Amino acid sequence: MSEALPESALDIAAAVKSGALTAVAAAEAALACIAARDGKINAFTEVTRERALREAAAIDTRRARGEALPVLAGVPYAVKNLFDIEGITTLAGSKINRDLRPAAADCALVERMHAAGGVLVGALNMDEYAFGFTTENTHYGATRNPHDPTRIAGGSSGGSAAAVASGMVPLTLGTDTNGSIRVPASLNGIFGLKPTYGRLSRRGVFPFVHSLDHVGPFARSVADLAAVYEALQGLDAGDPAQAKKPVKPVSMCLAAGMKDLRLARAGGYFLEHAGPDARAAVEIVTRALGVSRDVVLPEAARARAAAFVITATEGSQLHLANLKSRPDDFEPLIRDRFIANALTPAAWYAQAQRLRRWFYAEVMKVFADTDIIIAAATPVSATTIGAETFDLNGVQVPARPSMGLLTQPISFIGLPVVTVPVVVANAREGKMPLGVQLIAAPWCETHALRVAAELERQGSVKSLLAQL
Amino acid sequence: MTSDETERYVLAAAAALELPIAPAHLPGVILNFERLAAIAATVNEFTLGPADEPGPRWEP
Repeated sequence: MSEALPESALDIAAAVKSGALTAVAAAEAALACIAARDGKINAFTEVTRERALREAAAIDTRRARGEALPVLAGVPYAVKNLFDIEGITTLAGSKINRDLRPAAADCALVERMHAAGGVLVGALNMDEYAFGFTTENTHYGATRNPHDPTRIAGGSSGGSAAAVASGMVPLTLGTDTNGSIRVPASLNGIFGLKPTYGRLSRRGVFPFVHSLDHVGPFARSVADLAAVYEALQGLDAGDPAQAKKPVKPVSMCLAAGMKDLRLARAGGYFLEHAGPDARAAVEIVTRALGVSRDVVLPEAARARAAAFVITATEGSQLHLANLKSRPDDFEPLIRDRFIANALTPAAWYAQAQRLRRWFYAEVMKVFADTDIIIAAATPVSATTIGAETFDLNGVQVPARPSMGLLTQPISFIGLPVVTVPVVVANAREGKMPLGVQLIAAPWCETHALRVAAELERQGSVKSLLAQL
Repeated sequence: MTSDETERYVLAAAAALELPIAPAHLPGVILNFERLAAIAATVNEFTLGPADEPGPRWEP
């Protein structure tokens, strides 16, 4: 965080509540930090200075009146630029969406952050229409990894992760369809939560793949991640895919430890598609937790392939009108893929959706005697911007789609995942972070957060604040 | 599918959708469709039974 602010969101809120810090001072510090640092990172596509100072002043007024302040009072945060922000055009990383009218209202999660006392300071860069794992955006420039600006920040929520890792804000929101929270969390060395599919409202969030889209937070500590996740919960009739689940408090559970939880490492596909550093990151976590058991998620490669087919079909159909009328306005890196995807035969899509149900049933059998499955979040650490391929255990694989090899089978069936940051010493490339997925059964976010908290207490995982 | 079959399918499916493909984009579209087809093949060859319903559930 900037020199004037505590690193943790909860510490900022505590300072605002106690009067040690005003919300306006916190907002001004965050805005100054963005002005000083974002030129090197390119995480922000919009800075909402006026709104931030207005929201912050309202918090200070409430405190002056003696009102009890909400959990994230005065905490600066930012959102991926596919979240509707009232009065601002929702770009979704595209050039095409610049033609849309500004959003008439905040999306559901920005409403919830406002109710929790959050102060919105801006919108964040992403892959166009969330279709990518690198945030190499031709229209708005690549977001750079704060730990090494020659490398990618991951994607598609690359701006969301880089803004947190570089200390510009303590909290951000992003989306995850095939790995777009977990991949950038991994490559930037921070915590990310992809809740169960249907847990949080997506109202007012520009879609990518309706069957697979999730929303969730990034943070630099488990306590912050839990606090913002609590604030984001709640039923909302505006998202037809949201499950009718009651709000589940999690922060109070973080100290519960994990003795009652049964842990296992994901073997098979998840080890075969992890590079040496990713396997080392998993080893650090499993050793810290005393895990010696492997489980196999059957047909994980087919699950990933089916997620690919569903993504191709739904993601391109959404943009068919623009693919017909203005194909040259699409991101050049993905335009041809978008057009090809629009031609997917219906039988392929139906088979993929049926395989989804089958795979879900098989994985639920694994959860009969397991509470948390541990797997690497990305096959490798951040690659160089512009890289077309990377080496995965002796095979050159296409860089942009392959970053999602380990996340796609999991989001395919909507499982909740906390990604935790592990630093793996790498003599060749210096120290670049890598994330490990703590995968829980549906609606059991609390289990993953408890294990993350235990690892953080032990010092086995730690969020890295980049030195810029 | 052979390369020729892929190209014929791409052009026919695009015509059915009234989706024009600029000549400059066609090679990239065909390449990407071939990659998608290879990935989809692993899904399509998997045997599912009549009781294996699709993932999404409609709740009116």
